[in-house]
Amino acid sequence: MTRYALDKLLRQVILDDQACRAFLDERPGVLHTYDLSDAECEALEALDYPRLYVLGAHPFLLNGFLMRTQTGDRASALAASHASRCDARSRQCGGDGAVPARTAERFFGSLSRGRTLRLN
Amino acid sequence: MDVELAKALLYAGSCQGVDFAFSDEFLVDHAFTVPLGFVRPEMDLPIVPIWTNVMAPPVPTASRFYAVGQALRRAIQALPTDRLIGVLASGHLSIEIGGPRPYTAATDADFDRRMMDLIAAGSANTVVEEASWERMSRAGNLTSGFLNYVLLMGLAGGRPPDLAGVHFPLATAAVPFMAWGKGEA
Repeated sequence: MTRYALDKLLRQVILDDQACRAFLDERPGVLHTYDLSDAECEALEALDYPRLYVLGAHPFLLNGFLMRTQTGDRASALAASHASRCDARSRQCGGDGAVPARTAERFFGSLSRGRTLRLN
Repeated sequence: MDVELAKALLYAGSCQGVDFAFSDEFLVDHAFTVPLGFVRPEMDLPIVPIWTNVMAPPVPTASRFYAVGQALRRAIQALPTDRLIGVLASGHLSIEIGGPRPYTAATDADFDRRMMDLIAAGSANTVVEEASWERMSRAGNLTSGFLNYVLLMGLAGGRPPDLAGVHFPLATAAVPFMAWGKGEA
């Protein structure tokens, strides 16, 4: 059920200014109030968007979350390779968003963290 | 908001095999305001917002969207009113949001062209057959917003649109449009 908590947190940060500020200012304290997995906490702590995508965050919420938590040039994170996409079927079935290890490896392997893209 | 019409549609839906849910609190977002702003900038006509799930899995199948469109048509026809009722739908072709391919030109122009050709030809059965979750996901992670067009096809009873077209901007998703005039299909 932790993906529900993850999506809920993203939604709160998108819609509620106070929640957004709290998240940006006191991330560990805020994360503690949600029922998140260790992997989700780590990804949120690091603002690791592709990792959150792989963990099953809803892409529409993730997009809004990215816009709320990044300023200036947005990270290259979401521009990773096509190979990174989660298996369509597992997402449709509402699974935990897990992807085969090989896919995840290609995802992170292909990620060019130093590069930034102007997305707007 | 036309509450009486909304209630009538809610009950008419049940009779037509679609048990709509309803909410007393509903925040309309860009999916409603953008098309309304184009078609009726005065925003002075009563509306009944109908919300479909195109992005929170499990998303219903294309055949279900088509059937709901057909049922909606029957429900509207069964309303005890002589008012003219227009149906406005928003959706899109291939699109990627929050995923690895964000903010690019059409992520799958082949999908876009194929679907627009089929819609223009009124080939509803083929659209329903080809617009699977897997195919739409390959086209772009939130392409399933396309299903609202399938609902429109159902509403039009399979009649080809009187007007249909698509524009491919360089840096954003394709911009499709389609319209069915007043009349019996």
